[in-house]
Amino acid sequence: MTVLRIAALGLALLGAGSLSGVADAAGQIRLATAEEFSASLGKLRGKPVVLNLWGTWCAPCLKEIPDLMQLQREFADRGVELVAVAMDDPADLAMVDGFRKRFFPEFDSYIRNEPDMDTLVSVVDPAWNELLPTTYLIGKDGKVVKRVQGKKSIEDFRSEIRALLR
Amino acid sequence: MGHSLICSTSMLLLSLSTGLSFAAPVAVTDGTRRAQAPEVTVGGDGSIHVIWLDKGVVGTADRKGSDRSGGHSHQSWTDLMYARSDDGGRSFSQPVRVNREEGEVWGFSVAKPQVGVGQGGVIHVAYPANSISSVTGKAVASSLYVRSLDGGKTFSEPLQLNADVPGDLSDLVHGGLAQAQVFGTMTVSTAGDVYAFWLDTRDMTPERMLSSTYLRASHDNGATFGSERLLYQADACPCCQLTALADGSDRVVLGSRMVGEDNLRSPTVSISMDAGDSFSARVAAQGTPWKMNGCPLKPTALAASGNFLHTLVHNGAEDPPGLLYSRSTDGGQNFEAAIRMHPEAAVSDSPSLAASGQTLHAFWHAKLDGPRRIFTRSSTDNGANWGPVLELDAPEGTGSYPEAAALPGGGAVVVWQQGEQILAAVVGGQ
Repeated sequence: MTVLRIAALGLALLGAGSLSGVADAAGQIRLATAEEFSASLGKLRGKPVVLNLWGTWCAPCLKEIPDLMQLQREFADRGVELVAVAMDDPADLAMVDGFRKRFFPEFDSYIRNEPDMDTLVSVVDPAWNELLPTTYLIGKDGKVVKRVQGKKSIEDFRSEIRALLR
Repeated sequence: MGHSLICSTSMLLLSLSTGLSFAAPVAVTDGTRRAQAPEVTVGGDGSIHVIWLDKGVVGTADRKGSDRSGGHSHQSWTDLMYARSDDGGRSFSQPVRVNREEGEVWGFSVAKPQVGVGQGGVIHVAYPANSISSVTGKAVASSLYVRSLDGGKTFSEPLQLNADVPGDLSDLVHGGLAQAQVFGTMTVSTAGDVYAFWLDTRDMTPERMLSSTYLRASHDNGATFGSERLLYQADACPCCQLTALADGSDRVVLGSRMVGEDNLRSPTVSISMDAGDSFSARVAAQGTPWKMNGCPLKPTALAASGNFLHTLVHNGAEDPPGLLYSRSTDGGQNFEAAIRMHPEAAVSDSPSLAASGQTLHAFWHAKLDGPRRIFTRSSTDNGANWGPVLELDAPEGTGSYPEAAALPGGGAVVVWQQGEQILAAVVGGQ
């Protein structure tokens, strides 16, 4: 699939530098430009990554976030990392963080620090079609293995992660 | 692969492969401010009218509304701007703010305000706005209407189209809003009718996260409006902006994305032949069935010419995901098999159609191997055959969210976001 080939190329170019000004503690909302996001993903090379795009306005997104957090705990010993990015407007950082604290206090997420959603998502998927939720299963080599769109059940995601780990 | 434009003069570009002419892009905004979500319409005298969202000076954040909403903030606090061209798109007037209350406008590139021109050059605008519900005291987003009787120099006090309703869905919708009556559209007929539609969360439940479709109509050029009316209850994609068109007859066409069993999200068309009093059952445009439990943010672009009715929609079930064109030759009762509008694109989206007589222009943004750019195709036989995909001449960088309107003489004017600037260009015509 063209999308995945291009995404693999994009991830291969990721740097390994740290994300400037961003703490590593869980349970935060952190602004990230495309460049910062790319560098942050680069630091996760060698680990399987579940990358979830969500938005506060996207009800199906909100329903699946607890499932993804549950799966992160389940697969922690296999090194699986959950990376989330809110597609809300960066000016709404405080609102998104308040939303997170209220509903998912342990949820760690970036929020785009770009004028449009596509610029940041293009780091992993140059052909993203602006649909939420979108989740990418990314292998240890940084290649996008699968793009999943729409809310899925926890069983579906569990199967996808197991396939990613094979 | 799109053909590039290969002949340029100071004002006119020409694709040698098709003979289709393009005027060089003209700046509607000066690039110093964050502009997005342009919309365009053409008056009966050929005047071009553009509106867009203004999110402040480039490099600054949105205004925040926390002082008005009890500490709760919204996704979007912007202004709505208007400009016009009376020289065929060669130049545009200085922007005028449409909304009276600074920063009240809610909206973004897939939830755009709408503009239309009616009898006597009256300019009609419908837009979503932040407000506080008179029923619940909670932050909500509502649909407002204003008009200009002086050619766009000033706009009226806003009329709230939707009723404030009970219920607090702030845990469910739109970043914490208690209700949202937005993602609407408006169409204006040459007979003085104004039809304003919106997607409404009042019937939404945690188990059924779908919107109802409401209409409010004016038959006196926007002076007065009838009561709001429910058209379809809790069966529409809540984030797929409605589309509509009306002509000088009593026909009104509504485009919406209906959600069926197993989250089948179908682009549909419904027709009123009695000036909005009643609408037909919705007919789905053709295309691969797309089942998806999420927020597609995908409208159903419409155009019509007589009994020919055209749709252009994004379909995420395609691989790669992209735009499908489908037409009806019997006034919307049946649709022919769909064709891919831009098969070579990695992704294509944000469709707009403009029809004049048998000529049909399609615009969209797509990605080949770089950022989004604006593309077009034209048909001169009511969509039976299409010319090649052409990329619009535009500066380097990202071009996105085009909207188009037909011009007299078979051409079209298209406006779009180029970075954070609004550009316009005239395509085709005599």
